[in-house]
Amino acid sequence: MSNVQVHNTRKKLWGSEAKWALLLLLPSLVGIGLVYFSALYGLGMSFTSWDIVQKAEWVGTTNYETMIEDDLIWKALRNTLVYLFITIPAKLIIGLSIAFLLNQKLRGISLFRLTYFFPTACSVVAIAFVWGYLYGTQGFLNQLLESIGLSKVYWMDADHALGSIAIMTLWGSMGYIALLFLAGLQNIPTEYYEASRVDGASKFQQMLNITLPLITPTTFFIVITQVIGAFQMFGEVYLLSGPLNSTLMIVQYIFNEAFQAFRMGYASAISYLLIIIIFIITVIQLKLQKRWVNYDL
Amino acid sequence: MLTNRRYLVTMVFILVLSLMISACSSGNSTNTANDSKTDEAVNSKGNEQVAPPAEKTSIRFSTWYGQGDIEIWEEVISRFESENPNIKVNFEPVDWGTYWQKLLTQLASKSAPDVIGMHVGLVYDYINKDQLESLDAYIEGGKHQNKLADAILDEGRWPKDAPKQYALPWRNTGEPLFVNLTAFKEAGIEYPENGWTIEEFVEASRKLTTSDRYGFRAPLWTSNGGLAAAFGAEPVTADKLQSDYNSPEMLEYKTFIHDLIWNEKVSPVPKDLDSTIDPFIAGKVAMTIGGAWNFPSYRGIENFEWDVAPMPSKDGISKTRGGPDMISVTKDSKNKEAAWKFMEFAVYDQRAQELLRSTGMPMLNEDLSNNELIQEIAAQKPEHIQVFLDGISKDGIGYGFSQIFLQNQKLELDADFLIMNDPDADIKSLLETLHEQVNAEFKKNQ
Repeated sequence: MSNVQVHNTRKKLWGSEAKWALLLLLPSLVGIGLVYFSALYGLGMSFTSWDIVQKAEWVGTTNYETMIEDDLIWKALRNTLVYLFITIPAKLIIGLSIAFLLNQKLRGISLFRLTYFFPTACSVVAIAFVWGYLYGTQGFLNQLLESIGLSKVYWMDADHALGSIAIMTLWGSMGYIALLFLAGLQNIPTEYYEASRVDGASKFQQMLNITLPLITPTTFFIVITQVIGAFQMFGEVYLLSGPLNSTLMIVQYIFNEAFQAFRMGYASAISYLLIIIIFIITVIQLKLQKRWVNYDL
Repeated sequence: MLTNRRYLVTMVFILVLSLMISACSSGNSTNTANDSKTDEAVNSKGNEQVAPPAEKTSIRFSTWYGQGDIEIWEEVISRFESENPNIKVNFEPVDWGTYWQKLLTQLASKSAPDVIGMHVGLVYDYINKDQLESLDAYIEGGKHQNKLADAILDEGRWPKDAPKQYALPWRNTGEPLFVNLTAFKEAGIEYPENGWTIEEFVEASRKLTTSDRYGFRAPLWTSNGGLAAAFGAEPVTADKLQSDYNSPEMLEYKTFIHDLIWNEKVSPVPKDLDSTIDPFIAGKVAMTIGGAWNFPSYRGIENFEWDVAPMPSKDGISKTRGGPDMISVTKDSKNKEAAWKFMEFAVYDQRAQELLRSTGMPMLNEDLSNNELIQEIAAQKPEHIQVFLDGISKDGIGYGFSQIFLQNQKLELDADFLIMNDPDADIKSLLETLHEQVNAEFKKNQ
């Protein structure tokens, strides 16, 4: 094809298809543009003092300097990390166990799958409301404990509240995690199991050497999304919070600063701290995945 | 060529659609009348000259709500609309926790409702930010003079040295001492006299405490008002600009409440109470300090007789936490004339007041002096409503009303959690910490 022909073809494409492509992409571009605009606007805002009513005042890096001395930020980060280290392993272990059970060929297995997935479809408000009753000092769980001769637990006091919320979110997200693992399990070719059986592998050896390595992409996906989700957790702790900031999470703290104290500049600065933390953790996870995630089926 | 034309037409269509959507998204109320002209007219005339809108118009009204409030406001709006067929009121009730966040966001984006609920503890902040319309032009020299006590009107005036009226009350309310009369009778305790002493109160709490019931529930946040005032304790200084948590009076008061829980054992440990159950309704406590907005739900109690009683005191004068719930017109309202008409109806008209006072107490002077009306309310309970009326109209006090009311609330609740749930709490040290935290919040707000 000559240069003239190539030029004409490009011109033709630009004249028709490219314009239509641009037109069809416009809604997405507007959406993405709004995200980047908000992010950049927030960055600018983080260098100001602004109560959303009066004019913003440039304060330089003051908000970032204030963060260093703000005990609540560190408490929120600590809470977030504790929550993360409680829930991620628990979600993986319990979710995978349920997925194994749901992967059986039983009559009515679809009903079991639906039952386990049901909490995922529930609103976080409804879940928090129900668990609030369960966790009451005279609530169902304590009545149960006392009926078998055990002493009651202050589920929502400063010492237990974070753990109680972790249990609630574990219950709420278990169906979704199990569903992802189930998809991963069903994706493993049965030939691998048949061949290993011929070689005399036990069920445990099959799980260790075939199942677990081959579901590592699913595991990796779950870990990365759940870690990000833990850093962004808000609804559960907003609706069912413990005393003394015992369940304060970083996003909740951003919300408090932005929409209760109306310190928008400071809230924006904390948001950027959160973005940096999530970015670093995600990069580390992506780097580490090469060592343990197996994409070869 | 054709393709280019279609492309152009499509782009124009999208642009027009976007403009239409953005135009429709404005939350401001609509007004078919000439707004600026009517506003000027209102501002240049007194109340007597305010004319109803000639053309059909609508306003938005938003406030927080407690039990029964939504139904009551809906009925008030219905009565107002039948009286003013040209004004439609769109009601936007929001729960207390969300209301203040939403309101400030709406005010900042100039999409706030025309009439808004305003809290006595927060009004100063909104006035300082120039978000409320002065009502002086509407009420000065008007027909409503002397309808409300100056003390109650004063809560909506600012600044104190050259005051203008920015908010008007729609109900007076407060937090009386509720007593379980059946438990009182069982324990052989007489209904307390006005000005009964702290010692008599503690003695009554002891007698009322049984194996399955406590005498008194330790109050939380503003419920502390009346009892704390007996000790001379207040969370903030008189100028409402600094913490007063490190005062000897506050230490004495918090120690007193702590002793009721841990030494006298007449009050339950707060964390033993289930937050989803009202311990007074459940019969778990015989005395509690709570909001008058509980009257409707307490009227449903069938297991025992209840009433309100005077707050115990140290100087013979019972003090009660009281204050009006108010409404204001927003500065950016496009429909101030109609907004004022609605506000005027809610505050001054008997057809509104006979509904609105049912969750609080009467506030109009004519109602307060109407013995028949007071007896009518007393017949529905609480029987000693007059005690409550006297408590807040003669010796009413606030609690923590300042520019950091909401932040202060959280800090005091956290401090109380540490003080009241620990038998060995270092109360002085915890109050010092609270004092510093509250002052830090004041500083951030400057």
